[in-house]
Amino acid sequence: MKTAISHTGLVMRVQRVTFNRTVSVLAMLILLALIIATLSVCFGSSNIPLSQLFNDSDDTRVVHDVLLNLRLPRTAAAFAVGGLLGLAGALMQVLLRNPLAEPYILGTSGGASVGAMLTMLLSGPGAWVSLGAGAGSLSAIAIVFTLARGDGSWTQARLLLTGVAVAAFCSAITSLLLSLAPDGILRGMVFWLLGDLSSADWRQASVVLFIAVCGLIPFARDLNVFALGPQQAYGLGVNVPLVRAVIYVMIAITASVAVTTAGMIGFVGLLVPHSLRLILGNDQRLLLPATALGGGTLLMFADLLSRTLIAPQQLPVGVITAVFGAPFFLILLNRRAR
Amino acid sequence: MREGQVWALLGENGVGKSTLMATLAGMRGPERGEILLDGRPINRHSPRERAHWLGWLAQRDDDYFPATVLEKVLVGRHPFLNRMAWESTEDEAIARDALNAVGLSGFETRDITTLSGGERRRVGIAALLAQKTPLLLLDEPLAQLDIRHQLEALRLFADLAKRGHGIMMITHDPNHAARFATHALLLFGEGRSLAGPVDDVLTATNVSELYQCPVKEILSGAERLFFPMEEELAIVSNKAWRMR
Repeated sequence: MKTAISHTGLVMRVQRVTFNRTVSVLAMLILLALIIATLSVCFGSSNIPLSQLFNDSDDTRVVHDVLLNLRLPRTAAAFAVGGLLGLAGALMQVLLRNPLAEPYILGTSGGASVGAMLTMLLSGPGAWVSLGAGAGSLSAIAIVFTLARGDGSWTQARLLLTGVAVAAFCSAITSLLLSLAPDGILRGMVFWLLGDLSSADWRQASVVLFIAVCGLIPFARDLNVFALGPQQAYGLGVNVPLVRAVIYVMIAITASVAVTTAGMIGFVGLLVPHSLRLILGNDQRLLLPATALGGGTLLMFADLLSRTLIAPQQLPVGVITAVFGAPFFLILLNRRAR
Repeated sequence: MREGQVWALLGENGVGKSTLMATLAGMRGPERGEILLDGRPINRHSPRERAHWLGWLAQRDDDYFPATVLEKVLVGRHPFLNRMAWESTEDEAIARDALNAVGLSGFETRDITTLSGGERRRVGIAALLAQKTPLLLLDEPLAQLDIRHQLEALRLFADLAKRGHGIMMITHDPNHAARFATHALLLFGEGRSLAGPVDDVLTATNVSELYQCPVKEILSGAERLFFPMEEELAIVSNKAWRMR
Protein backbone atom coordinates (compact mmCIF):
# COMPACT_ATOMS: atom_id res chain seq x y z
CA MET A 1 0.00 0.00 0.00
CA LYS A 2 1.41 3.35 -0.98
CA THR A 3 1.36 6.07 1.59
CA ALA A 4 0.01 9.54 0.88
CA ILE A 5 3.52 10.77 1.49
CA SER A 6 4.95 8.96 -1.48
CA HIS A 7 2.32 10.61 -3.68
CA THR A 8 3.42 14.10 -2.95
CA GLY A 9 7.05 13.11 -2.70
CA LEU A 10 7.52 15.84 -0.12
CA VAL A 11 9.31 14.75 3.02
CA MET A 12 7.83 17.55 5.11
CA ARG A 13 4.65 15.60 5.84
CA VAL A 14 6.49 12.82 7.60
CA GLN A 15 7.91 15.05 10.28
CA ARG A 16 6.14 16.20 13.37
CA VAL A 17 5.36 19.89 13.60
CA THR A 18 7.63 21.57 16.11
CA PHE A 19 8.12 25.20 17.02
CA ASN A 20 11.27 25.52 14.93
CA ARG A 21 9.65 24.00 11.89
CA THR A 22 6.64 26.28 12.23
CA VAL A 23 8.84 29.36 12.40
CA SER A 24 10.92 28.36 9.37
CA VAL A 25 7.93 27.47 7.20
CA LEU A 26 6.11 30.68 8.12
CA ALA A 27 9.27 32.69 7.42
CA MET A 28 9.45 31.17 3.94
CA LEU A 29 5.79 32.01 3.34
CA ILE A 30 6.27 35.59 4.53
CA LEU A 31 9.21 35.96 2.14
CA LEU A 32 7.09 34.62 -0.72
CA ALA A 33 4.30 37.01 0.19
CA LEU A 34 6.70 39.98 0.15
CA ILE A 35 8.04 38.99 -3.25
CA ILE A 36 4.57 38.68 -4.76
CA ALA A 37 3.53 41.94 -3.10
CA THR A 38 6.48 43.75 -4.70
CA LEU A 39 5.63 42.29 -8.10
CA SER A 40 2.02 43.30 -7.60
CA VAL A 41 3.02 46.87 -6.90
CA CYS A 42 5.43 47.06 -9.83
CA PHE A 43 3.32 45.50 -12.55
CA GLY A 44 -0.10 46.34 -13.85
CA SER A 45 -1.61 48.30 -16.68
CA SER A 46 1.65 50.27 -16.60
CA ASN A 47 4.85 48.70 -15.33
CA ILE A 48 7.00 50.47 -12.79
CA PRO A 49 10.61 49.31 -12.54
CA LEU A 50 11.96 48.83 -9.00
CA SER A 51 14.54 51.58 -9.40
CA GLN A 52 11.85 54.20 -9.78
CA LEU A 53 10.32 53.22 -6.45
CA PHE A 54 13.05 54.91 -4.52
CA ASN A 55 13.96 57.95 -6.65
CA ASP A 56 12.38 61.27 -5.94
CA SER A 57 11.98 63.53 -8.96
CA ASP A 58 9.09 65.15 -10.76
CA ASP A 59 8.25 62.18 -12.99
CA THR A 60 8.45 59.73 -10.17
CA ARG A 61 6.02 61.75 -8.09
CA VAL A 62 3.19 60.70 -10.40
CA VAL A 63 4.45 57.17 -10.19
CA HIS A 64 4.50 57.34 -6.41
CA ASP A 65 0.96 58.63 -6.53
CA VAL A 66 -0.21 55.62 -8.49
CA LEU A 67 1.69 53.42 -6.11
CA LEU A 68 0.46 54.83 -2.85
CA ASN A 69 -3.13 55.54 -3.74
CA LEU A 70 -3.91 52.73 -6.10
CA ARG A 71 -1.53 49.80 -6.13
CA LEU A 72 -0.45 49.53 -2.50
CA PRO A 73 -3.97 49.65 -1.05
CA ARG A 74 -5.13 47.21 -3.69
CA THR A 75 -2.29 44.81 -2.96
CA ALA A 76 -2.98 45.12 0.75
CA ALA A 77 -6.67 44.43 0.14
CA ALA A 78 -5.83 41.39 -1.97
CA PHE A 79 -3.60 40.03 0.75
CA ALA A 80 -6.12 40.68 3.50
CA VAL A 81 -9.08 39.19 1.62
CA GLY A 82 -7.05 36.19 0.46
CA GLY A 83 -5.84 35.63 4.00
CA LEU A 84 -9.39 35.81 5.37
CA LEU A 85 -10.66 33.37 2.76
CA GLY A 86 -7.83 30.94 3.42
CA LEU A 87 -8.44 31.12 7.15
CA ALA A 88 -12.20 30.68 6.77
CA GLY A 89 -11.61 27.66 4.54
CA ALA A 90 -9.21 26.03 6.99
CA LEU A 91 -11.67 26.58 9.85
CA MET A 92 -14.58 25.21 7.83
CA GLN A 93 -12.59 22.08 7.05
CA VAL A 94 -11.96 21.59 10.77
CA LEU A 95 -15.60 22.30 11.71
CA LEU A 96 -17.03 19.84 9.21
CA ARG A 97 -14.09 17.43 9.59
CA ASN A 98 -13.86 17.34 5.82
CA PRO A 99 -10.84 18.40 3.76
CA LEU A 100 -13.13 19.39 0.89
CA ALA A 101 -15.21 21.97 2.74
CA GLU A 102 -15.05 25.62 1.77
CA PRO A 103 -16.22 28.80 3.51
CA TYR A 104 -19.23 29.56 1.33
CA ILE A 105 -21.09 26.39 2.24
CA LEU A 106 -22.86 27.84 5.24
CA GLY A 107 -24.74 30.46 3.29
CA THR A 108 -22.17 33.29 3.62
CA SER A 109 -21.92 34.04 -0.07
CA GLY A 110 -25.62 33.55 -0.79
CA GLY A 111 -26.68 35.95 1.96
CA ALA A 112 -24.00 38.46 1.02
CA SER A 113 -25.00 38.53 -2.64
CA VAL A 114 -28.69 38.99 -1.80
CA GLY A 115 -27.79 41.83 0.57
CA ALA A 116 -25.47 43.48 -1.92
CA MET A 117 -27.82 43.14 -4.90
CA LEU A 118 -30.74 44.54 -2.91
CA THR A 119 -28.68 47.51 -1.71
CA MET A 120 -27.41 48.20 -5.22
CA LEU A 121 -30.92 48.13 -6.63
CA LEU A 122 -32.23 50.46 -3.99
CA SER A 123 -29.38 52.94 -3.65
CA GLY A 124 -26.85 52.27 -6.39
CA PRO A 125 -23.19 51.29 -5.98
CA GLY A 126 -21.47 52.89 -3.01
CA ALA A 127 -20.54 52.41 0.61
CA TRP A 128 -23.93 50.99 1.56
CA VAL A 129 -23.32 47.94 -0.59
CA SER A 130 -20.72 46.55 1.79
CA LEU A 131 -23.05 47.06 4.72
CA GLY A 132 -25.87 45.35 2.87
CA ALA A 133 -23.63 42.47 1.96
CA GLY A 134 -22.45 42.15 5.55
CA ALA A 135 -25.98 42.19 6.93
CA GLY A 136 -27.12 39.61 4.38
CA SER A 137 -24.16 37.37 5.08
CA LEU A 138 -24.59 37.38 8.84
CA SER A 139 -28.36 36.84 8.57
CA ALA A 140 -27.85 33.82 6.32
CA ILE A 141 -25.31 32.34 8.73
CA ALA A 142 -27.63 32.91 11.68
CA ILE A 143 -30.50 31.22 9.80
CA VAL A 144 -28.37 28.21 8.89
CA PHE A 145 -27.08 27.86 12.44
CA THR A 146 -30.54 28.08 14.01
CA LEU A 147 -32.03 25.58 11.57
CA ALA A 148 -29.23 23.07 12.00
CA ARG A 149 -29.05 23.11 15.81
CA GLY A 150 -28.28 19.83 17.42
CA ASP A 151 -25.52 17.80 18.93
CA GLY A 152 -23.66 14.73 17.84
CA SER A 153 -21.60 13.77 14.87
CA TRP A 154 -24.34 13.92 12.28
CA THR A 155 -24.91 17.58 12.89
CA GLN A 156 -22.17 18.08 10.33
CA ALA A 157 -24.36 16.62 7.62
CA ARG A 158 -27.33 18.64 8.79
CA LEU A 159 -25.25 21.82 8.83
CA LEU A 160 -24.00 21.11 5.34
CA LEU A 161 -27.41 20.35 3.88
CA THR A 162 -29.08 23.33 5.53
CA GLY A 163 -26.31 25.54 4.17
CA VAL A 164 -26.79 24.11 0.69
CA ALA A 165 -30.53 24.72 0.85
CA VAL A 166 -30.14 28.31 2.07
CA ALA A 167 -27.47 28.95 -0.58
CA ALA A 168 -29.77 27.65 -3.31
CA PHE A 169 -32.59 29.89 -2.10
CA CYS A 170 -30.29 32.93 -2.00
CA SER A 171 -29.05 32.12 -5.47
CA ALA A 172 -32.63 32.15 -6.74
CA ILE A 173 -33.30 35.53 -5.11
CA THR A 174 -30.07 36.92 -6.57
CA SER A 175 -31.11 35.83 -10.04
CA LEU A 176 -34.49 37.45 -9.50
CA LEU A 177 -32.86 40.73 -8.46
CA LEU A 178 -30.53 40.62 -11.46
CA SER A 179 -33.46 40.13 -13.79
CA LEU A 180 -35.24 43.13 -12.28
CA ALA A 181 -32.18 45.41 -12.46
CA PRO A 182 -32.07 48.31 -14.93
CA ASP A 183 -29.20 48.17 -17.47
CA GLY A 184 -27.17 50.93 -15.85
CA ILE A 185 -26.73 49.10 -12.54
CA LEU A 186 -26.60 45.61 -13.98
CA ARG A 187 -22.92 45.68 -14.98
CA GLY A 188 -21.88 46.84 -11.53
CA MET A 189 -23.95 44.11 -9.90
CA VAL A 190 -22.43 41.40 -12.08
CA PHE A 191 -18.91 42.63 -11.38
CA TRP A 192 -19.58 42.52 -7.65
CA LEU A 193 -20.72 38.94 -7.96
CA LEU A 194 -17.61 37.99 -9.89
CA GLY A 195 -15.27 39.33 -7.23
CA ASP A 196 -13.62 42.70 -7.68
CA LEU A 197 -10.74 44.28 -5.82
CA SER A 198 -10.77 47.70 -7.47
CA SER A 199 -12.74 49.42 -4.75
CA ALA A 200 -11.84 47.17 -1.84
CA ASP A 201 -11.22 48.71 1.56
CA TRP A 202 -8.00 47.15 2.84
CA ARG A 203 -8.19 48.60 6.33
CA GLN A 204 -11.17 46.70 7.70
CA ALA A 205 -10.10 43.42 6.13
CA SER A 206 -6.52 43.70 7.41
CA VAL A 207 -7.57 44.48 10.96
CA VAL A 208 -9.99 41.57 11.04
CA LEU A 209 -7.35 39.23 9.59
CA PHE A 210 -4.81 40.27 12.19
CA ILE A 211 -7.25 39.89 15.08
CA ALA A 212 -8.49 36.54 13.76
CA VAL A 213 -5.01 35.05 13.44
CA CYS A 214 -3.93 36.34 16.87
CA GLY A 215 -7.16 35.10 18.43
CA LEU A 216 -6.97 31.64 16.90
CA ILE A 217 -3.34 30.75 17.60
CA PRO A 218 -3.96 29.95 21.32
CA PHE A 219 -6.81 27.65 20.27
CA ALA A 220 -4.87 25.88 17.55
CA ARG A 221 -4.13 22.68 19.44
CA ASP A 222 -7.73 22.52 20.64
CA LEU A 223 -8.70 22.64 16.97
CA ASN A 224 -6.36 19.73 16.25
CA VAL A 225 -8.11 17.66 18.91
CA PHE A 226 -11.57 18.87 17.85
CA ALA A 227 -10.84 17.61 14.33
CA LEU A 228 -10.41 14.08 15.67
CA GLY A 229 -14.10 13.73 16.37
CA PRO A 230 -16.49 14.68 19.21
CA GLN A 231 -15.90 11.59 21.36
CA GLN A 232 -12.15 11.66 21.26
CA ALA A 233 -12.05 15.42 21.74
CA TYR A 234 -14.31 15.07 24.76
CA GLY A 235 -12.12 12.32 26.22
CA LEU A 236 -9.07 14.54 25.90
CA GLY A 237 -10.65 17.36 27.87
CA VAL A 238 -11.71 19.72 25.07
CA ASN A 239 -14.91 21.68 25.66
CA VAL A 240 -16.46 20.60 22.38
CA PRO A 241 -19.56 22.86 22.28
CA LEU A 242 -17.45 25.93 23.14
CA VAL A 243 -14.80 25.21 20.51
CA ARG A 244 -17.49 24.52 17.92
CA ALA A 245 -19.16 27.86 18.70
CA VAL A 246 -15.83 29.71 18.49
CA ILE A 247 -15.03 28.14 15.12
CA TYR A 248 -18.48 28.96 13.80
CA VAL A 249 -18.27 32.60 14.87
CA MET A 250 -14.77 32.97 13.40
CA ILE A 251 -15.87 31.49 10.08
CA ALA A 252 -18.86 33.81 10.03
CA ILE A 253 -16.75 36.89 10.67
CA THR A 254 -13.82 36.09 8.36
CA ALA A 255 -15.95 34.91 5.45
CA SER A 256 -18.41 37.80 5.78
CA VAL A 257 -15.69 40.44 5.87
CA ALA A 258 -13.95 38.85 2.89
CA VAL A 259 -17.14 38.76 0.83
CA THR A 260 -18.25 42.26 1.75
CA THR A 261 -14.81 43.68 0.92
CA ALA A 262 -14.27 42.08 -2.47
CA GLY A 263 -17.36 40.21 -3.56
CA MET A 264 -17.46 36.49 -4.19
CA ILE A 265 -14.00 35.18 -4.91
CA GLY A 266 -14.14 31.45 -5.22
CA PHE A 267 -11.73 28.55 -4.76
CA VAL A 268 -9.21 30.34 -2.55
CA GLY A 269 -11.03 29.15 0.56
CA LEU A 270 -10.95 25.56 -0.67
CA LEU A 271 -7.66 25.27 -2.53
CA VAL A 272 -5.27 26.99 -0.15
CA PRO A 273 -6.01 25.00 3.03
CA HIS A 274 -6.41 21.76 1.10
CA SER A 275 -3.13 22.04 -0.82
CA LEU A 276 -1.15 23.30 2.16
CA ARG A 277 -2.47 20.40 4.22
CA LEU A 278 -1.11 17.96 1.66
CA ILE A 279 2.33 19.53 1.98
CA LEU A 280 2.46 20.54 5.65
CA GLY A 281 0.10 18.15 7.40
CA ASN A 282 -3.00 18.97 9.44
CA ASP A 283 -1.46 20.50 12.55
CA GLN A 284 -3.45 23.72 12.91
CA ARG A 285 -0.61 25.43 14.76
CA LEU A 286 1.21 25.54 11.46
CA LEU A 287 -1.66 25.23 9.02
CA LEU A 288 -3.76 28.18 10.22
CA PRO A 289 -1.12 30.92 9.88
CA ALA A 290 0.17 29.19 6.74
CA THR A 291 -3.25 29.32 5.07
CA ALA A 292 -3.63 32.97 6.00
CA LEU A 293 -0.27 33.76 4.39
CA GLY A 294 -0.84 31.38 1.48
CA GLY A 295 -4.32 32.69 0.75
CA GLY A 296 -3.08 36.27 0.82
CA THR A 297 -0.18 35.48 -1.49
CA LEU A 298 -2.39 33.56 -3.91
CA LEU A 299 -4.93 36.33 -4.17
CA MET A 300 -2.23 38.97 -4.67
CA PHE A 301 -0.90 36.85 -7.51
CA ALA A 302 -4.36 36.34 -9.01
CA ASP A 303 -4.97 40.08 -8.77
CA LEU A 304 -1.65 40.71 -10.51
CA LEU A 305 -2.72 38.40 -13.33
CA SER A 306 -6.13 40.07 -13.54
CA ARG A 307 -4.42 43.43 -14.09
CA THR A 308 -1.75 42.27 -16.53
CA LEU A 309 -3.22 39.47 -18.66
CA ILE A 310 -5.22 41.71 -20.95
CA ALA A 311 -3.75 45.05 -19.90
CA PRO A 312 -4.89 47.82 -19.95
CA GLN A 313 -8.24 46.12 -19.41
CA GLN A 314 -8.83 44.43 -16.08
CA LEU A 315 -10.47 41.09 -15.44
CA PRO A 316 -12.46 40.45 -12.27
CA VAL A 317 -10.18 38.57 -9.91
CA GLY A 318 -12.90 36.00 -9.15
CA VAL A 319 -12.71 34.91 -12.80
CA ILE A 320 -8.95 34.24 -12.49
CA THR A 321 -9.31 32.18 -9.33
CA ALA A 322 -12.10 30.11 -10.86
CA VAL A 323 -10.50 29.61 -14.27
CA PHE A 324 -7.18 28.49 -12.82
CA GLY A 325 -8.56 27.14 -9.57
CA ALA A 326 -11.00 24.58 -10.94
CA PRO A 327 -8.51 22.64 -13.11
CA PHE A 328 -5.92 22.74 -10.32
CA PHE A 329 -8.52 21.35 -7.92
CA LEU A 330 -9.34 18.54 -10.34
CA ILE A 331 -5.65 17.69 -10.62
CA LEU A 332 -5.37 17.54 -6.82
CA LEU A 333 -8.42 15.28 -6.58
CA ASN A 334 -7.03 13.02 -9.26
CA ARG A 335 -3.73 12.60 -7.43
CA ARG A 336 -5.51 11.65 -4.23
CA ALA A 337 -7.61 9.02 -5.93
CA ARG A 338 -4.55 7.00 -6.90
CA MET B 1 -14.74 1.21 39.78
CA ARG B 2 -11.49 1.27 41.70
CA GLU B 3 -7.83 1.29 40.82
CA GLY B 4 -6.50 -2.23 40.37
CA GLN B 5 -9.81 -3.55 39.04
CA VAL B 6 -10.48 -4.77 35.52
CA TRP B 7 -14.20 -4.66 34.77
CA ALA B 8 -15.60 -6.55 31.81
CA LEU B 9 -18.84 -5.05 30.47
CA LEU B 10 -20.81 -7.71 28.64
CA GLY B 11 -24.13 -7.76 26.90
CA GLU B 12 -25.92 -8.40 23.65
CA ASN B 13 -25.60 -6.08 20.68
CA GLY B 14 -27.75 -3.01 21.16
CA VAL B 15 -28.36 -3.48 24.90
CA GLY B 16 -26.63 -0.20 25.74
CA LYS B 17 -23.00 -0.96 26.62
CA SER B 18 -21.54 1.96 24.66
CA THR B 19 -24.29 4.22 25.95
CA LEU B 20 -23.45 3.23 29.51
CA MET B 21 -19.78 3.88 28.88
CA ALA B 22 -20.54 7.30 27.38
CA THR B 23 -22.56 8.07 30.53
CA LEU B 24 -19.73 6.93 32.78
CA ALA B 25 -17.37 9.15 30.81
CA GLY B 26 -19.70 12.04 31.52
CA MET B 27 -20.52 12.83 27.91
CA ARG B 28 -24.20 12.00 28.47
CA GLY B 29 -26.22 12.82 31.54
CA PRO B 30 -27.66 9.82 33.43
CA GLU B 31 -31.43 9.61 33.64
CA ARG B 32 -31.25 8.73 37.31
CA GLY B 33 -28.47 8.81 39.83
CA GLU B 34 -25.12 10.45 39.35
CA ILE B 35 -21.60 9.57 38.27
CA LEU B 36 -18.95 10.40 40.84
CA LEU B 37 -15.31 10.79 39.93
CA ASP B 38 -12.92 11.02 42.85
CA GLY B 39 -15.90 11.64 45.12
CA ARG B 40 -17.26 14.58 43.13
CA PRO B 41 -19.93 14.61 40.39
CA ILE B 42 -18.18 14.16 37.09
CA ASN B 43 -19.49 17.32 35.51
CA ARG B 44 -18.10 19.37 38.40
CA HIS B 45 -14.62 18.58 37.20
CA SER B 46 -13.27 20.86 34.50
CA PRO B 47 -12.83 19.02 31.18
CA ARG B 48 -9.07 19.21 31.53
CA GLU B 49 -9.08 17.84 35.07
CA ARG B 50 -11.40 15.04 34.03
CA ALA B 51 -9.03 14.15 31.20
CA HIS B 52 -6.25 13.76 33.77
CA TRP B 53 -8.34 11.20 35.64
CA LEU B 54 -10.31 9.36 33.03
CA GLY B 55 -9.39 8.18 29.57
CA TRP B 56 -11.94 6.90 27.07
CA LEU B 57 -11.27 4.80 23.98
CA ALA B 58 -14.09 5.22 21.47
CA GLN B 59 -15.59 2.28 19.64
CA ARG B 60 -14.61 3.42 16.16
CA ASP B 61 -11.37 4.84 14.83
CA ASP B 62 -12.49 7.64 12.55
CA ASP B 63 -9.67 9.44 10.81
CA TYR B 64 -10.96 12.43 8.91
CA PHE B 65 -7.55 13.84 8.00
CA PRO B 66 -4.24 12.16 7.22
CA ALA B 67 -1.80 12.22 10.12
CA THR B 68 1.30 10.35 11.12
CA VAL B 69 1.02 7.63 13.75
CA LEU B 70 3.24 9.57 16.14
CA GLU B 71 1.03 12.66 15.83
CA LYS B 72 -2.04 10.55 16.59
CA VAL B 73 -0.45 9.13 19.72
CA LEU B 74 0.87 12.53 20.85
CA VAL B 75 -2.67 13.90 21.11
CA GLY B 76 -2.90 11.85 24.27
CA ARG B 77 -0.62 14.44 25.87
CA HIS B 78 -3.04 17.30 25.11
CA PRO B 79 -4.56 17.53 28.62
CA PHE B 80 -1.09 18.08 30.07
CA LEU B 81 0.13 20.86 27.81
CA ASN B 82 -0.43 24.54 28.43
CA ARG B 83 -2.24 26.52 25.80
CA MET B 84 0.83 27.89 24.05
CA ALA B 85 3.18 25.02 24.88
CA TRP B 86 4.58 22.54 22.37
CA GLU B 87 5.12 18.83 23.00
CA SER B 88 8.40 18.28 24.81
CA THR B 89 10.96 15.53 24.25
CA GLU B 90 9.50 13.89 27.34
CA ASP B 91 6.05 13.83 25.72
CA GLU B 92 7.56 12.32 22.62
CA ALA B 93 9.28 9.66 24.73
CA ILE B 94 5.96 8.81 26.40
CA ALA B 95 4.33 8.48 22.98
CA ARG B 96 7.08 6.22 21.68
CA ASP B 97 6.83 4.03 24.80
CA ALA B 98 3.09 3.75 24.25
CA LEU B 99 3.63 2.66 20.64
CA ASN B 100 6.15 0.12 21.84
CA ALA B 101 3.67 -1.26 24.37
CA VAL B 102 1.17 -2.02 21.57
CA GLY B 103 3.84 -3.46 19.31
CA LEU B 104 3.92 -0.65 16.78
CA SER B 105 7.47 0.65 17.18
CA GLY B 106 8.77 1.75 13.84
CA PHE B 107 5.35 2.93 12.69
CA GLU B 108 5.90 6.52 13.84
CA THR B 109 6.09 8.11 10.41
CA ARG B 110 3.41 5.99 8.74
CA ASP B 111 0.24 7.71 7.56
CA ILE B 112 -2.67 6.63 9.72
CA THR B 113 -5.05 6.26 6.78
CA THR B 114 -2.86 3.54 5.27
CA LEU B 115 -2.99 1.26 8.30
CA SER B 116 -5.30 -1.71 8.67
CA GLY B 117 -8.29 -1.64 11.04
CA GLY B 118 -6.47 -3.63 13.70
CA GLU B 119 -3.38 -1.44 13.49
CA ARG B 120 -5.52 1.66 13.87
CA ARG B 121 -7.17 0.17 16.95
CA ARG B 122 -3.75 -0.38 18.45
CA VAL B 123 -2.76 3.22 17.66
CA GLY B 124 -5.93 4.31 19.45
CA ILE B 125 -4.95 2.22 22.47
CA ALA B 126 -1.45 3.75 22.36
CA ALA B 127 -2.92 7.27 22.38
CA LEU B 128 -4.90 6.34 25.46
CA LEU B 129 -1.80 4.91 27.12
CA ALA B 130 0.03 8.17 26.42
CA GLN B 131 -2.69 9.96 28.37
CA LYS B 132 -1.54 8.05 31.48
CA THR B 133 -4.86 8.25 33.30
CA PRO B 134 -5.54 6.26 36.49
CA LEU B 135 -8.92 5.14 35.10
CA LEU B 136 -9.54 3.84 31.57
CA LEU B 137 -12.80 3.19 29.75
CA LEU B 138 -12.31 1.00 26.70
CA ASP B 139 -15.09 0.51 24.17
CA GLU B 140 -14.36 -2.74 22.31
CA PRO B 141 -10.58 -2.39 22.43
CA LEU B 142 -10.08 -5.79 20.84
CA ALA B 143 -12.22 -5.23 17.76
CA GLN B 144 -10.44 -6.24 14.56
CA LEU B 145 -7.38 -7.58 16.37
CA ASP B 146 -6.04 -11.04 15.58
CA ILE B 147 -5.68 -13.54 18.45
CA ARG B 148 -2.06 -12.74 19.21
CA HIS B 149 -2.72 -9.01 19.37
CA GLN B 150 -5.88 -9.59 21.38
CA LEU B 151 -3.91 -11.53 23.99
CA GLU B 152 -1.14 -8.95 24.01
CA ALA B 153 -3.65 -6.16 24.56
CA LEU B 154 -5.41 -8.08 27.34
CA ARG B 155 -2.09 -8.77 29.04
CA LEU B 156 -1.28 -5.09 28.74
CA PHE B 157 -4.55 -4.14 30.46
CA ALA B 158 -4.08 -6.72 33.21
CA ASP B 159 -0.57 -5.38 33.74
CA LEU B 160 -1.86 -1.81 33.96
CA ALA B 161 -4.37 -2.92 36.58
CA LYS B 162 -1.61 -4.55 38.62
CA ARG B 163 0.25 -1.25 38.51
CA GLY B 164 -2.73 0.50 40.02
CA HIS B 165 -4.93 1.60 37.09
CA GLY B 166 -8.67 0.93 36.99
CA ILE B 167 -10.04 -0.42 33.72
CA MET B 168 -13.46 -1.07 32.28
CA MET B 169 -13.68 -2.69 28.89
CA ILE B 170 -16.54 -3.68 26.66
CA THR B 171 -15.93 -7.09 25.22
CA HIS B 172 -17.96 -9.69 23.40
CA ASP B 173 -15.96 -12.68 24.54
CA PRO B 174 -16.82 -14.10 27.98
CA ASN B 175 -13.57 -16.08 27.87
CA HIS B 176 -11.54 -12.90 27.84
CA ALA B 177 -13.54 -11.75 30.82
CA ALA B 178 -12.97 -15.01 32.65
CA ARG B 179 -9.22 -14.93 32.08
CA PHE B 180 -8.30 -11.30 32.49
CA ALA B 181 -11.06 -9.45 34.34
CA THR B 182 -11.43 -9.11 38.09
CA HIS B 183 -15.06 -7.98 37.96
CA ALA B 184 -17.90 -8.29 35.47
CA LEU B 185 -20.97 -6.19 34.71
CA LEU B 186 -23.63 -8.03 32.74
CA LEU B 187 -26.37 -6.02 31.02
CA PHE B 188 -29.38 -8.21 30.35
CA GLY B 189 -31.51 -5.48 28.87
CA GLU B 190 -34.83 -4.05 30.07
CA GLY B 191 -33.09 -2.56 33.10
CA ARG B 192 -31.67 -5.81 34.49
CA SER B 193 -28.01 -6.05 35.29
CA LEU B 194 -25.62 -8.01 37.45
CA ALA B 195 -22.31 -6.71 38.80
CA GLY B 196 -19.67 -8.26 40.98
CA PRO B 197 -16.45 -10.27 41.11
CA VAL B 198 -15.95 -12.18 37.91
CA ASP B 199 -15.95 -15.64 39.48
CA ASP B 200 -19.34 -15.01 41.11
CA VAL B 201 -21.07 -13.27 38.22
CA LEU B 202 -19.69 -15.07 35.19
CA THR B 203 -21.40 -18.45 35.31
CA ALA B 204 -22.67 -20.63 32.50
CA THR B 205 -26.27 -19.90 33.47
CA ASN B 206 -25.77 -16.14 33.50
CA VAL B 207 -23.83 -16.13 30.24
CA SER B 208 -26.46 -18.28 28.55
CA GLU B 209 -29.18 -15.93 29.67
CA LEU B 210 -27.15 -12.88 28.72
CA TYR B 211 -26.64 -13.90 25.12
CA GLN B 212 -29.84 -15.92 24.70
CA CYS B 213 -27.59 -18.78 23.62
CA PRO B 214 -26.96 -21.97 25.63
CA VAL B 215 -23.38 -22.03 26.82
CA LYS B 216 -21.40 -24.82 28.41
CA GLU B 217 -18.65 -24.24 30.92
CA ILE B 218 -15.52 -26.36 30.70
CA LEU B 219 -12.78 -26.36 33.28
CA SER B 220 -9.28 -26.68 31.90
CA GLY B 221 -6.95 -26.76 34.85
CA ALA B 222 -7.46 -23.46 36.66
CA GLU B 223 -9.12 -21.84 33.66
CA ARG B 224 -12.79 -21.67 32.80
CA LEU B 225 -13.90 -21.79 29.19
CA PHE B 226 -17.33 -21.06 27.79
CA PHE B 227 -18.51 -22.80 24.65
CA PRO B 228 -21.72 -22.03 22.77
CA MET B 229 -23.81 -25.16 22.24
CA GLU B 230 -24.97 -25.11 18.64
CA GLU B 231 -27.45 -28.02 18.64
CA GLU B 232 -29.39 -26.65 21.54
CA LEU B 233 -29.41 -23.13 20.07
CA ALA B 234 -31.99 -24.03 17.43
CA ILE B 235 -34.44 -25.31 20.06
CA VAL B 236 -33.93 -22.33 22.35
CA SER B 237 -34.25 -19.84 19.51
CA ASN B 238 -37.57 -21.30 18.43
CA LYS B 239 -38.89 -21.18 21.99
CA ALA B 240 -37.66 -17.62 22.43
CA TRP B 241 -39.31 -16.51 19.20
CA ARG B 242 -42.63 -18.08 20.11
CA MET B 243 -42.63 -16.40 23.52
CA ARG B 244 -42.13 -12.90 22.10
